[in-house]
Amino acid sequence: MNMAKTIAILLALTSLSLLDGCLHIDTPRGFVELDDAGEYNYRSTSATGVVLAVRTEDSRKDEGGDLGFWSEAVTRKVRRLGGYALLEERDVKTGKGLAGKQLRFGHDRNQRPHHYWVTLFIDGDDLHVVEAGGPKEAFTELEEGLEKAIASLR
Amino acid sequence: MNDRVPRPIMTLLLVASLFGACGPGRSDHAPAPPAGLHAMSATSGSMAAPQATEELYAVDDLDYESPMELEGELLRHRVDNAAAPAPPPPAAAKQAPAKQKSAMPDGPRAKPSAERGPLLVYEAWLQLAVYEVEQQQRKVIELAESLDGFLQKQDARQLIVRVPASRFKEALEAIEAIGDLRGRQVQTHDVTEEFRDIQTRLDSARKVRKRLLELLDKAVNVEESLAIERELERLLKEIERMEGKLKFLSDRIAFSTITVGFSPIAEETPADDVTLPFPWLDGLGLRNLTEL
Repeated sequence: MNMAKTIAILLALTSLSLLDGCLHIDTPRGFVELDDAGEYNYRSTSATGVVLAVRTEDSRKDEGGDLGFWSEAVTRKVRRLGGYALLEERDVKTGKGLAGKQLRFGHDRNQRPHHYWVTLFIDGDDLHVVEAGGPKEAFTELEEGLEKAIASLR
Repeated sequence: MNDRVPRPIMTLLLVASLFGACGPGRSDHAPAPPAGLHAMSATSGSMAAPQATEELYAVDDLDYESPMELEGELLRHRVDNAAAPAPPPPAAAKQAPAKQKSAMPDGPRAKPSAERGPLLVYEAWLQLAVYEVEQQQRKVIELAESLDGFLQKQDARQLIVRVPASRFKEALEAIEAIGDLRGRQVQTHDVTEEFRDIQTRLDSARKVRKRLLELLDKAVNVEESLAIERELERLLKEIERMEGKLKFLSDRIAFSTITVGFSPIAEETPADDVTLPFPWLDGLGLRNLTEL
């Protein structure tokens, strides 16, 4: 009985661990993780207004949803928002070898230049969408930490 | 007055008066455009750039005396009724065309020819969405200057550059590549008839003026002189006006105008053209991300 209970508890813990392990990202130095992530699965902010957030969506992999499709969809959507310019596209990889696509946009807001990155990873049925953005000066200072955080996604 | 002013003078004054009253009418017998005007390859409404339009500025070097020279001549006549040589024109009158021409690309002077193409004015309006508007505006200005053009006007959201007509298309393509092109309008105005009409009337006015000056030298009394001078002064104003208009048109023909507007800053409005069935896409953007 004890054995069965132990196994049940272990299974439950494993399940929880697996569920929790669906998404993890290291919070960059100088950022504070927010309790209320809103529509995101994870969100953190720096004191200077740079925000990092992650959401996980259905990748629609079986229906043909690949990095090419989602990159195109995101690029078109963001450019149509108005005032965004796609400055660079990068192939990125997480520490665990997950390949992704990073779209780096520039945007003027309140007459100040801002950076806005959208990084996409497909992990099986999951599409991880990592967004990072903020005023250009503050963003540039924190850029290295943001890159490391994005690479820590697992 | 009729008894005292000889009939030929009265006739000429009448002709001059009629000329002045004509206003900016059109001439069906458009004469040849001034020396230096070349036929352009572009046709109205087309996007093809004209060729050798910089030579249009040779209009400034036409063989005519400036209005200031005429004014000097009138003054001379008033001071000394004798047929003394006309004083040299004021320095400003000599420098004005030279100064304007210095901004133009050098080109061979054309000989008058019966075969001439249309005189076209090119204008374009571009709307660009760009990142960091100030930087991109600098790029547009540098680009215009590299094409021998110049900045005409600039404000936070818009700038106007002028480029040689021969490089209009090249400039348009280069500016469009600077940002996301959101709107584009190109217009071509054919000013051939207007230009040649003014030129015709200007030539006629100069001939009348020449005749009046000859009569002024032959005037035998003060009353005759005053009547001729009054006509000459009126004619001077008319000539100045037409010369100004010709210079304005020449400038518009030689240098095309490109107005570049920049997208309103950070007005994130939802897209309304293509909507994919993935609601999370609507949450993208800095506004959502940074709204804590």
